Amino acid sequence: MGVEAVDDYTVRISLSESVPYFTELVAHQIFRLVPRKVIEQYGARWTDEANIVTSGAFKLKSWKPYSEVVAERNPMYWDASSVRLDEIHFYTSTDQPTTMNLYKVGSADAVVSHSVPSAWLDVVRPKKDYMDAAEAAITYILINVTQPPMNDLRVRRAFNMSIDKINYAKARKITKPLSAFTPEGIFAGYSQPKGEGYDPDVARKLFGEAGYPVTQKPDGTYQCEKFPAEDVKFSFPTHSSNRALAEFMQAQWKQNLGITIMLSNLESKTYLAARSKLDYKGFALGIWGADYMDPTTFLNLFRTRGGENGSGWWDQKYVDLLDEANHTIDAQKRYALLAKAEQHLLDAQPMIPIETLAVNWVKKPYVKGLYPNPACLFAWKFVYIERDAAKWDYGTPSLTD
Amino acid sequence: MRGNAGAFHYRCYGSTLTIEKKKSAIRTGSRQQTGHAGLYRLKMLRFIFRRLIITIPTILVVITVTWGLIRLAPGNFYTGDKALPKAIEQNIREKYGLDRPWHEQYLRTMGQILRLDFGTSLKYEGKSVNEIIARSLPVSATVGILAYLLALIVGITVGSIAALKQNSKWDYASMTLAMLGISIPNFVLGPILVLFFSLTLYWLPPSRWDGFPSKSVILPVFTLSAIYMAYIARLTRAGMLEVLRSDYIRTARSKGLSETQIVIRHALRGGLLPVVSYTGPALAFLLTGTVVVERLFVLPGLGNYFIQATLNRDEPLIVGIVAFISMTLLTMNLLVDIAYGYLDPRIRQ
Repeated sequence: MGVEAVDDYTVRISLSESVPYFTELVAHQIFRLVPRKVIEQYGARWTDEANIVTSGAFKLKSWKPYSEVVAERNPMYWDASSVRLDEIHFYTSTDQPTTMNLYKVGSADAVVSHSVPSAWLDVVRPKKDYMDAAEAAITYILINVTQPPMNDLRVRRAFNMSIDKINYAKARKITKPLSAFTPEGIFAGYSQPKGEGYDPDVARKLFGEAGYPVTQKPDGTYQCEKFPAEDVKFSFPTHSSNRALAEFMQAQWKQNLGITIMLSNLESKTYLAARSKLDYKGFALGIWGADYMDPTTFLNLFRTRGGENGSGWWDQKYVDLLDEANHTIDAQKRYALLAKAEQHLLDAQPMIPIETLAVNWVKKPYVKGLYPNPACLFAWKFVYIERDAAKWDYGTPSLTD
Repeated sequence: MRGNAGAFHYRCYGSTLTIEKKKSAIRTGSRQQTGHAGLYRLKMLRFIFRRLIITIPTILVVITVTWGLIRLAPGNFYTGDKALPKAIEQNIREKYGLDRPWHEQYLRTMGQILRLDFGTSLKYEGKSVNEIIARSLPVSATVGILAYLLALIVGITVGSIAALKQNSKWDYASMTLAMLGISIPNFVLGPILVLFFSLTLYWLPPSRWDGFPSKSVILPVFTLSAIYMAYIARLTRAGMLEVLRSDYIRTARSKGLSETQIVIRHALRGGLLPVVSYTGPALAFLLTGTVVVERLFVLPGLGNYFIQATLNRDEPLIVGIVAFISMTLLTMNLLVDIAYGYLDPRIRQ
C-alpha cells in the first residue's frame, strides 16, 4: 500500500490488490490522517490540546485521562457550516449502572454503544429512549485443539451440539444465536454458511464414538465417567456477564453430556496473555468486534497461527481459500469463496460460535441524528439538540417520566 | 495548651496530659524544655534524623517490590485483543527500553525516581506521570480532607452527646447508627445513597467530579466519611465515659463549675485522647485517595488512576503513584511521630 500527499487537500492511496471493502476500512481510526509537521515538532506531546491538529468536524478542546474528553466545533473543517453542535463532552465510565445513573439524572444526554445493563432491559426497552441494533461482533468459545481430549474433532462437535444457543440468546434478551463464525445479518449479500445446531442426542453419540460413552441414569440424568473432565476448563476474563455465559455453558454440558467443566476466571490482561500462548486447557472465551465491515475481519483471526487465533488450529487450505477470495475482484464471487472458507473453518470446529452481539443504548428524545449501527460509529457532525419539543421523539414515556 | 476542643487535636493531646498527670509530669517536662533547650533540640533532631534514615530505604523497598510485581504480572501495556506482529512488538519494546537487561531497566527507573521525575504514561502517550498526579491529587485530597473534617465534627459531637446522656434514647440511637456505619461497607453505602439522593430525589449527582465546591462533592465525602465518623463517635463516647467518672471531673463539679465548662474544658480534652491516636494515620490514608469511593463515584483521583494503571500495566504510572503515596504516608507518619515527640516527653526519651 502506498500513501502520498498530492497537495494540501488531497491524499492518494494506491493498493497492491483489490480491496472491495476499502472505503469501510478507512473508517477505522487507524487510518486517520495525521500532521507530520506537528508530530515532528512536538513528539509524544503532539496530542496535547494545544498542539494537536486534526481534520474532522470536531477538534480536541481538553482531555483529562480517565475523566473527560471535550471536543469542540472545528472551524477549519471543510463542511463546518453543517456541523450543529458547539461542543461534545465525552465522559469516561467504569460500569453500566454508573453510566445509566448519569443518564437518568440528566447529566448525560446519550449513552452510546453498550450502556443498558441486562437487568434493566425489561424496564428500559419499552421507553422511547431505547435504541438497539445488531452489532458486527460475536461471542465464541475458543478450543485449545493441541491437547487431548479436545484434539478430537468428534469431542469438539459434541460440545458445540450440546449447547442450546437459542435459549441462551433468549436469556440474554438482545443477542441472536449464532452457528457460524461471522455475525448474522450484518454483511449484506454474504451467504453465511450454517454450522451444526443444538442436537444433544447426536452429541452423546459422538462422545461415545470418541471413547467417552454417555449413559443415562435411572433418574433420567446423564453421566460420562470416562471423560477426563479434569483436563478441560473454561477460562474467561473476570466480568459478571462472562461468568453468566460460562455458567450457562457449564450447566448445558452437565445436562446433556453428564460432565462438569470447571470454570476459571482471570484478570483481563493475564487472560489475554495466557490465551494467545495457548496456556489454557479446553475452552477460552472470545469476543470479537469488526474492525471494518467485511467478513474477513472475523475470518482472518484464524489466518495466523499465534496471537489472536488462540486455538492452535491452523490449516494451509483455509489460508489458501481466503487468499483466493481476496484476489477475486467480483464482489459476489469473492463472498462465495469467503463463505467456502468459513464453512471449512466451521467443519474443523476450533471454536464454538455462541451469539451475534447487539448494541443497546439510550438517548434523550431531544437528541437527534444519533442512530444505533452495527459498527458503533457515529457521525457526530449530523447530531443536534432539538429545542422545539414538538419535534422530539414520540412514543412511549421516557426513562425519566 | 489552651486550644479549645474543636481545634487541632495534638493540642488536645497536650492538655490531656496536663490533666492526667495532675500537672506534675508536664511541669517537669516543661522545666526540662526550658532548662535544657539545646539538649532537647539535639535529641529531637537525632530523632528526626533516625526516622529519615529508616524512611528512605522503606520507600526504595516499596518501589522495588512494586516494580518487580509489575514485571511478574502476565501481559503488557500493549497486550490487547489484537495480537501485535512480532516486528511491531519488538519496536515497542525497543522504544520503551523493555529489551534491555532487567537491571538496566531497574536502574533507569530508580534514577528517574531519585530525580522525582516519574516518566511518561505508557497508556496515555504524552501525559507525564507528574502531570497526572498533580491533576488527581487535589481531587483525592479535597474529598479526603472534607471527609476527615466531617468525621471529626460529627463523630465528636455525636460521641459526646451519647456519653453525656448515657443510656438515653440519644445514646442508643446514635450508637445504633454508629454500629451501622462501621458495619456497612462503603461500596454498599455509596450505591444506597445514590439510589436515594440521586435517582429518587434528584438532589445530587450520582457520580463524576465537578470540582469544589459543588454538589458532586457531597455523596463521595459522606460515603468516605461514614465509617470514620462512626468510629470516632464510638471512641469519643468511650473516652468521655471514662473521663466523666474520674476524680478530677468530680472535683470540677464540686468546685461549682457549670456543666458546659466541665464538658468543654475538662471532659472533652480527656475523652479525645483515643480519637487523636486514631485520626493521625487515618488522615494520611484519606489524603492519598481511596480506591473504592473514587471508583464508585468515578472521581478522577489518585486511587482511580492507580487501579486503571494497574489494569493497563502502565508501569511508570503505577510506580509513580506507589512512590508518591508511600512518600506521603511515610512523611505523614514522620510528622505525626514528631508531633507526638513534642507532646509526649516519654516518647522523646
